[in-house]
Amino acid sequence: MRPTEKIKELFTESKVKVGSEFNNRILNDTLAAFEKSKTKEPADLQPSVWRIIMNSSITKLAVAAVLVIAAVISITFLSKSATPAYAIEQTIEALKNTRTVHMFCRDWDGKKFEMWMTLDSQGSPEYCYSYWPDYEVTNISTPMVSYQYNKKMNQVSVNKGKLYHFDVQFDRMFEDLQKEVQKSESNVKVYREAASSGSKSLIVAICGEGDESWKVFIDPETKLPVGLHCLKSRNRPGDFIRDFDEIRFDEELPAGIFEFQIPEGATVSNIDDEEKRLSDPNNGISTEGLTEQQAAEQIAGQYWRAIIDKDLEKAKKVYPRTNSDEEVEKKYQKYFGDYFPSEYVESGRLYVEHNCGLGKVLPCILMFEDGRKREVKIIIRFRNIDGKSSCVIAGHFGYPVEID
Amino acid sequence: MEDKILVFQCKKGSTDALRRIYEKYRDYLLVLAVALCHSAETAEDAVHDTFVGFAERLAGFKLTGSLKAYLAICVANRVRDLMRNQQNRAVSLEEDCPLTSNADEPSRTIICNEELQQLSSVLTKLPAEQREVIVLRIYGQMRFGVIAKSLNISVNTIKGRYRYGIDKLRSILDSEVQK
Repeated sequence: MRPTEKIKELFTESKVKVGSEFNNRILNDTLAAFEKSKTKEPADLQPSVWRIIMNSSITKLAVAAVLVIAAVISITFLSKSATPAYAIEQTIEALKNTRTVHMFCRDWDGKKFEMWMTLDSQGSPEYCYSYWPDYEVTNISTPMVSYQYNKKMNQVSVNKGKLYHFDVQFDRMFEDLQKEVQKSESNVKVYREAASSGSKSLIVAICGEGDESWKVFIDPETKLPVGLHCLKSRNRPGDFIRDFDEIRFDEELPAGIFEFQIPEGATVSNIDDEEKRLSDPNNGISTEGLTEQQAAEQIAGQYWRAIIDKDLEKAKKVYPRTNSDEEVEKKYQKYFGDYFPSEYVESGRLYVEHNCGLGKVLPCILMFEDGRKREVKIIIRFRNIDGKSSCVIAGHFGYPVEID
Repeated sequence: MEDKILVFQCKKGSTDALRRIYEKYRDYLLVLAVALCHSAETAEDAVHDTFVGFAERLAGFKLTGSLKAYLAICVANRVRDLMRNQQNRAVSLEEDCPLTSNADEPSRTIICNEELQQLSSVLTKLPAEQREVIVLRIYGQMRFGVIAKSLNISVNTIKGRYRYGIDKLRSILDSEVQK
């Protein structure tokens, strides 16, 4: 029997026996509510009173004048008044009470993408789905198994647990803002601004200093962030999220959004095998006696020299993500395009990128065979295997970006 | 047509008409609520709140479609809210919510027959959003468009939920047959 027929049959035969006391309770409450509602004036009378008043042209003029004055006053108030009642802690706390987040974002290349997330009781992402329509790339990250699917290339990467390279830390972003406040209150400016759409004015927090600054839009009622724009960041183009144009909370998740079936004929790569190579103590370099920055610079130097010399064996030793030379070559061809790096110029400061779960990120400046200078970011993973500290390159972060 | 007349009479202040609506749809809505939440207690609360809310809004109420469908959607919405509150308490539906909410005092509660218990325990294995669409479609006999409009979700999403739900039901029912 088909499931619909079986369910229909069960529904047809389903019966409830209603207890008399229960029945009387509902009926009495319903009738009481009905009686009470009769004493209220119907709401649809109100507009007609408004219409009567507005029929007078003098009233119309007076109302218009009042509205203009109110608008001028409110703009002045909104742009200058601070809102000391707001604290970033309120947003962190509010995030703990939400269960789903639906975001419309743009990455550093200006490409739009959409994300859905479920949050755990601490406000940390648990399940995550994202889709880039321009690239036709879908990411599905779950605590059990994760997928990255490139439809154009019909390629699927699978790994156990959450998506290996994709670690959106929505909650931590606000914890960082909190730290900024603790460092210096002057790093955070809080004021109100009229929303671009709708009538609600939003709390705006400008956070950060130096080369890092964010504009966060907070709903004054819920204290939840409804938008977030990056004004300045050391995370230059090629990175992941730049703007959260719209953030919605506790929307119902589309059915099966975290489910994925590998399409027929797709090339599947198992990231877990790559992980094993990253954990192999024979790969990478020792970091004994070095700071993380020094170790990162040292491994980056070795890696780029190997790439420039086209010495894939040496490159694989510090960046052991792939096994066969053919695979390595293909990867680099795809990554660098027609022109390979020709000179390693310098590296920047190692930093934590909240959207990267593989390790810390080191920006490197390189000259390429076409005579152009580009920034390439590599991910450094620090390990402690059998009491010995070491590091390995776990991946590239974003694509090369041309710089002046 | 009878529903339109009943609503018209209610709006004129007739408690008898309201009582008639209640008696007409009480059992239907209770079965629907039990199927949606697998809990007699939650179902009772949902149906109670739906009728009380309906009575409160009657003065400004305009019946544009089927009253039965309107009440069914109200119950589904209420069940969803109540279950969300329960989720915050993080309890398992099956453990916490027997289908006879107060077996010692049957007059105070509802008692579900075996078929309803079986139906409800099968449906509870589906995600809530798929269960909702399946119940409204099969039991409520609503069109996908009506469900979509009522829940403020696209028709395609509703159809997707229905399809996934039916697929899952098939495997649930198959595995039960194998047992």
